[in-house]
Amino acid sequence: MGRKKVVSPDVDVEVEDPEEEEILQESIEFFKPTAEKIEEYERELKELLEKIPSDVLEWSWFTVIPEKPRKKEGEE
Amino acid sequence: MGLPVRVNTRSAKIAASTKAILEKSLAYPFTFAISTRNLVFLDFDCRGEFKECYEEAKWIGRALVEQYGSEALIYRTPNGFHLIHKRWLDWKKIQKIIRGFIALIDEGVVQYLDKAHLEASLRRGYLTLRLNQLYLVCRVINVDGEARVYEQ
Repeated sequence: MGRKKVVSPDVDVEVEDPEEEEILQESIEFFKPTAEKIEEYERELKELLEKIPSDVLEWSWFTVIPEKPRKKEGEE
Repeated sequence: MGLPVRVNTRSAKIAASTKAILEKSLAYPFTFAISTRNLVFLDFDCRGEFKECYEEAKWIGRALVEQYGSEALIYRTPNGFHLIHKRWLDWKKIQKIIRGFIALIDEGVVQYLDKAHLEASLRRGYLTLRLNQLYLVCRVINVDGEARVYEQ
């Protein structure tokens, strides 16, 4: 079962091991994505959301997950 | 496989930034998904049997629309189908529906619905669907109390 940590009112991070979370936080401090990359992903997400009705989005939130999760994670 | 990290946010901008940060810092690809505690999100894994799998998705879509009303959307994905039922329900009701589907899978009545996805949803307390490569293939709509399928 994933451990859940709310890092701000708008964002929460789930990891399985506290050590992993520490590594992640250190990595985030060190590696900064380019503005271009963020813009590219904003466009990508906007295109994806065009396929989802707005009333569905109203009762949903965004999750960022590994592209190929382990089978036990239970994602498709 | 890398660390099993997932980040939840209500903001599209934060989701985009987080994906970029995670990919750069952890050096493996991430993808966008949507999560909910108030709608039925189902994932069908076709295992190559797309026709039968689609029939099962439509059957379940009709059952949900007949029982709870509103509308069900069925999307084609690279490995199967996603179903989104657009009826707001509280998490207790959603849990009951998920457990019902797990029982149907165990009985062999339902074959392509992803049991691991349902079990993980119960553990986490919410349902998640990946957003990559979605194509809307049909809508199941309640017309005068009857669920009707409209292919796109």
